[in-house]
Order: sequence, then structure tokens, then C-alpha cells
Amino acid sequence: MSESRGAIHDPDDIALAWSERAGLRGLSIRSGRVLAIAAAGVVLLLSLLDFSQGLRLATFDLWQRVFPRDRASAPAVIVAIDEASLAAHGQWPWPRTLMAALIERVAANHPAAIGVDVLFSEPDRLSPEQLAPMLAADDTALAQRLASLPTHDAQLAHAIGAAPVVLAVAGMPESEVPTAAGRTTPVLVRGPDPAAIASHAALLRSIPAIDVAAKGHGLISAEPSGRVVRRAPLVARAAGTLMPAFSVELLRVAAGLPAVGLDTAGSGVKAVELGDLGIPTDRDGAVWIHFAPRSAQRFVSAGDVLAGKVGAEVFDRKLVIIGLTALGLLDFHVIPTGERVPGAEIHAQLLEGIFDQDLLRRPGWLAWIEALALVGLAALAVVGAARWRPRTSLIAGVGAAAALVLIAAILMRSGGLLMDVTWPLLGGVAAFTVMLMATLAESDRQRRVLRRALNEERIATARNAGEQEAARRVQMGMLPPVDGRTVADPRVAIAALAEPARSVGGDLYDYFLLDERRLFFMVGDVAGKGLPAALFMSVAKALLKSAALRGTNPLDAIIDEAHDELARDNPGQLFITLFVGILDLDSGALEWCNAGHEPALLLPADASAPHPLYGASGPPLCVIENYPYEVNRDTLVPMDRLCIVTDGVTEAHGAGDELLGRERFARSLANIGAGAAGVRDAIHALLTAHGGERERADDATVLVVEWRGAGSATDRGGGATSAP
Amino acid sequence: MPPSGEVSSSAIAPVGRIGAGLLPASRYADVVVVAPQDRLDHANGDAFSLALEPYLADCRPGGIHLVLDLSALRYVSSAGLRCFMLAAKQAKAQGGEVVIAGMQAVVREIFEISRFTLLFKVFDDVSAALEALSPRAAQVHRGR
Repeated sequence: MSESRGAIHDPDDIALAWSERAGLRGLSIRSGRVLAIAAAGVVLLLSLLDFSQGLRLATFDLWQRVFPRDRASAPAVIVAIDEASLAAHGQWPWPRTLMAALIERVAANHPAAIGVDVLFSEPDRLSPEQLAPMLAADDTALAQRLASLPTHDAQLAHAIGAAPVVLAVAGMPESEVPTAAGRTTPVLVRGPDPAAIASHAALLRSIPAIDVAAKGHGLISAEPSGRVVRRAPLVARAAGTLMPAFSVELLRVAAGLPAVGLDTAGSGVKAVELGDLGIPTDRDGAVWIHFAPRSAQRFVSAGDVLAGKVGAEVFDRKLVIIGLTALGLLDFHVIPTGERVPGAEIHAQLLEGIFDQDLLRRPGWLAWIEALALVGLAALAVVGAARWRPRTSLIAGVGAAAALVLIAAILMRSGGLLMDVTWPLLGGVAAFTVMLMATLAESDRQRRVLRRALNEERIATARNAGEQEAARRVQMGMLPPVDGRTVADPRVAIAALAEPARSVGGDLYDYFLLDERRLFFMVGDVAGKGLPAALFMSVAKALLKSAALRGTNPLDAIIDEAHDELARDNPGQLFITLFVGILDLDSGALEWCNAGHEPALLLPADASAPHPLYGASGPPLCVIENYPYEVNRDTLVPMDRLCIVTDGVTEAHGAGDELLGRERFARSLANIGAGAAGVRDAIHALLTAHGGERERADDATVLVVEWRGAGSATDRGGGATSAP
Repeated sequence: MPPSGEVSSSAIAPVGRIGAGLLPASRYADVVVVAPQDRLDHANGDAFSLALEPYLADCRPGGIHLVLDLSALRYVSSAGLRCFMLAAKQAKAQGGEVVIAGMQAVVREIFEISRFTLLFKVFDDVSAALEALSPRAAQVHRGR
């Protein structure tokens, strides 16, 4: 049927063909499953390899924005060396005497500790002893006087020494900076040496004169500005030595503790300990800062402090951070909320978080939960897409994803746990997408297969119907009219019935005048169905007619001649039953020949019981070669009717599968009034009643011939078609 | 007389199906009795011919005689008659013989009308057919 399929241009066929395009042809649910698992596996691998740290961090930043920290307590105050301060006291760097004054002003208000987020790594250029050598040539006396004055650095050291001050020391990435010696707060490690801890190659300190004066030294890292600050180390290694971070050191000094404790396990840090307070950290000793919104309440201006405009209660028992906030001084960092904040604020926010125990955590096991979530989502896609309809599995997938996000949000909100959902969702979406494509491709393919099958069936049906129709037309076209009008002779009335079964068989009937007084008639039935039977029947009919019309052949000679011709070329091994008769319209003499056919039924003119015409009969034509068919002779009386049927009538199957039967058939034809058509109609009614709704299994053919007697030519006028 | 016993010759293919029913077959010495069931018409004629084919192929001198036991056949259409005719013609061409036994009234009537009785020897029942075809087979049949 390939040529037929090619000829049909189904627009749906073309529109639906996407599932058969090169990339998708092999995509079934089965192969989709493998692909989906592979896709989820790749995503899982990428997530475990931290292929894109940014993706995960972006999720964490989102959590920070959605759930910022509530600023519960305010342990830290920032003394901001801001634009206003610079405007009032001159450009940076300030003389160290001014810094000393600032520290003294703060210290006078009983702060818990003062953190100075400024490095004094060179001597003050404005100090009097620095000016002395420049003036020595011009005014020796002045130079000597200047040199004898207390240095600015000494004054600052004095101010620092008089207060609980923590100085910043900076960890540097390169060792090009010569590391100055100086005091370092002891870090007591409880457990193995924490190799995983962050490490700086070198350490930058204030000049020794100032450095030694301080009660504490806290590490700040010289991070390049502009990077997003999410985590802060609480302890780090600098130039080979473990040191507390600036914030931790502030707390230690405030608490008056001699050392910082470090709880380690394996090669990593578990917690930083300040007396009784333990602060859990990541393995590298850092914590995730939970940022609160910016607040002006954290800041006081250094200018205001120097001017005495700030009340004593502002610093009382607070951790005070002195830091630079003027925009030009470049100590700015970006925090997860996207804001740019000065370094001092990050310290303050970290201190707030430690105080309120509101730090974020990212324990190692959470990564496995995330991996599990990814596998779970992918599994849902793989299992669900095959089992459920695409819409159901889509709803399930979206629901599972939403549940995951909700769980992560709850963990963040109530436990401060940073859970990544981006990678699990990516893995799930990858698996879902592949499965959805596979499902759609497969269902599309199935639809196309069904459509194709339907088309082929339609074509086959059409062909079959076409053949049946052709066979029926051959058959019906060959038959003379059922009302006998082609023999318009008053001596005879003819009525016929041809009821083909659905699959056309090979029944036939024929009647014609051989000459002025002889009527030739026959009924036949070819064994077989369809076009071959119909063609065989038409050939048989034509052969018989031509043999009959050739002249004065006796009936047996007509049969023999047709038989020979038919048998000579019969590849299908078909055979045909025949009842053939010649009626002398003047005398009522009947010659008949039966080749395996139903006996003709005689319906006597006197309305006595119908009876079959018994006599010599032979097998159907083409069953036994050269069979000598015998001719039987009877004589009709006027108004006798001959009724010849095929086995489609006598063997018609009723609703209960019972046959009509010859006896019942014959009985039912008793007491039917004159006329050929009446008999025919009675048989038709009988068949309809017997068969019921049942489809006819075989052709049913009827031919009724009524001899009206020779005299009727003058008595009645050509009423062949009239029926009572 | 329903057939009993099994086909014993390995040269003969196993029993085949025709239509909804089986084509039961039994062997008695050098005679095979096949018994088409219920109906034989254009719907199952081809299947019957196919099932009959292995026995028919063996129906030759020195082979077997074939008996069509029609005692279980309720109806035969002209298409069914054609199957019988083809079997008879093939057997005759091979020098063998197919006979018929045990026809029901309806089938007998159809045979008589179509004069297919001219094509086959017809016996009242299987044992009569066996007696006529092969004393040995009849003996086996009686022994059962």
C-alpha cells in the first residue's frame, strides 16, 4: 500500500512529524529515561564539583534578601571618619594626636572595647621629630626643641595603652611585605592542627611603638574592594601564626579573656571559643554573616565625637569600632543584599550576629541533602513521566520543586541554614524536560502510528468495497430485469429476485426467447465469492446464452458445449450449479436440465401443494469432466408456475442459526394466487421474516416463470409484469 | 460414531484448527479419518483445506486412505463443497481415494442435490467406510 500512502497528503501527518526529526526519532520513554538520568547525573556532578559557585551563592544571597536578620541588640557602635569629619579636621591621614584625642574621647565613656580599624604602619609624618631634621639647617634651636617634644606616635600609643583598644593587623596575600614582629594574642587549639584554616602569607602591623601599646590585635584581611562579602573568618593564620579576627579580638578584650580557644576536629575547625561562648564555624574557621538592613543608628561621626556632641550613653559598655567611611577612602565592600558598605559595618554586623547568635550555617551534610533532593526530583521525573499523563507529572514536578523551596526557606528562617535549591531544581528540570520531551515524542509517535493504521484500514476498506462494488455491478449488470419486461409475451409472466449478500457471490439468472415459441431460462450459483466468482458467473452465462442462441441445439448439447468451454479455462477451480429450462410457450412442454442445482418447484395452477421437479440430475459444471447431462421432460398446464431458487433461499439462516429448509420453503408457497410476481414477493417476505436482522450469508436468487397458456395471447394483453 | 484414538503416524502433521473448532483426526492402520465440525462455508473453507493438506498429500497408493467423517458437520455451503471437490480431485490425481462417511440429513440433502455423491463413495458411518477401504483398519477400529 506504499503507493497509496504516498498519495495521501494528510496535513496532520506533516504537522505532527516533529517527533520523527533526526534528534528525536530514537526518543522513547525508555531511552528518555536513560537520557533523563544522565542529564540529572551531569547536573549532580557539576553541583558536587562546585562547577559554578556563583549559582549556589546567588541562592544564598536571595535567602539573605528574603530573610534579613532582625537587628535585636546593638553591641557595636561605629565611630565613622566620614566626609563631615574630614571637612572639619582636614584630610586623611589625620595627625596621630587627633586619633589619640578621638580614642581618649571614646574611652572616657566606658566602652567595653575599642577597635581601631586603621593601620599605623609608618611613623606619623606630621610628628614634631619628623620635622626637626628638615628645620635643623635653618634653626637648630627650633629643631632641638621639636625633637624634644613627645612624638605623635608616642601620644597615640599612650592613648591606646590607657584604654581597652584592639588594633587591626592585616593579613596580606604576598610575602613581599616584611612581617614585623609584635604581640599576638594566643590561640589555644583544642584538637588537631586545623590545616583547613584560611592562611595569609604575610602580616602587616602598626609600627612597634603603637602596636605594643594595644591590649589586642585583631586580624583583618586585605580583601580587594568590590568582592561580595558573605563569610568572615573568626580565626586565620598569618605568617604561620594563628590569630583571632578583629571582631573576635574585640570580644576577647571586652570580656577580659587571656586567649581565644579553638575547637578542632580532623583538619578543620568546629568552633571558636571565647570563655563559655562557642561560635560554630565552617571547617576553615569562617562563619556566614547574616546581614541586617543598613542602619544609621550604628554610626556616629568622628567629628561629632571630637566636638563632644555625642552623649556618654552611646559608648557605654559598647564595642566601639573606629573606621573610615568617607567614600574617597576606598574601604568599601559589597554585601549579599547588593549594598556597598564600609569595612567597619561588616565588623559591626558580624559582632551583632555573634551577640544574637544569629549567624548562618552551611554544614557539610546539607550538601548531601541537596544532592538527595536533586536525585529525588529526577527520580520523580523519570518514574512519573512514564506512569502519569504529562500534565499530572508536570503538576507533581512543580509541586515537588515548590516543596523543596519551602523546606529550604523554613531551614533558613528558623535554623539559619543555607540550603541551595538551584542545583537540585536544575537537575530536576533537566530530567523533567527530557522525560516530557520523550513522553510527548512517544505519544505523538503512537498517534501517528494509529493514524497511519487507520488510513491503511480506510484504504483497504475502500479497495475491498470497490472490488465488491465492481463485482456487484458486473453481476447485477449481467442480469435481465426482475420484472421480466424484456420478454413481453402474453403467454408467459416472469418475476425475479436477486438479493446479493454483503460479500458478493456468484448467483445468476437469465431468461430470453430462443424463437417465437421457446423461452430459455436458467438459474445458477457459482461456488465462491467476490470478483472471481462474479466473473466466472458472467462467463458461464455468456457461454450458455451463445450456445442456446446458436440455433436448434437440444438442451443437453447446450449444457455440454458451455461445460467444455468453462472447464477448459478454469484456473480458480470454481464450479457452478445450474438449472436450465426451455419452455414451449404454445404447448407448455418443458425441457429441463439440472447440474447440481436446487430442484425447481412447481406451483400447480390448481393451487394444490407445490412439489419439486424430480428427475435426472448431474453434478455442477466443472466438477466432473464430460459428465453426460440428461434432459428431463414435463408438461405444464396453463397458469402453472415454476419457481427456481438458489441455496441462498432454501439454506437461509435464521436468527437462531436454523436453516429455512426446503420443506418449509415449499409449504410456505402453497395457496399463493395467480401471477409470477406474487410468488416472488412472497419469497422475499419469507426471507425477510426468517432472517430478521441477521446479515445474509449467501446470495438469494429467485426466478418465477408462469405459463399462461397459448390462448392467453388473445385473452389477455401482455400482462407480464402485473401481479395480484 | 465419533472417532476415537490418536494419530500415530509421525509423517502426518499434528491436528490443525479450522474456524472455531478443531479438525479432529484419527488413524486406524492405513486409514485417516478426519471429522470437520459444525459448519463448512466460505468463512472457514480455506482453513479447512489447509488443515486437510498434510493428510491429502499422503493420500496415494502405498499411503493412506482418507475418510471425511461428516457426522459432526451440520452445514456445508457451496464453498465447502468446493473444498471437498478439490480434495477429491487431488486424491484422484495422486491415485488415492477420499471417501465420505456419516453424513447428517441436511448435508446429505446438499450432497444429493448437488450430485456430489457422484464424486465420492459415501458410507453410512466410519466403520462401514473402513470395512470397504481396509480390513486391517476395520480390525483396528473394532478393537477399540
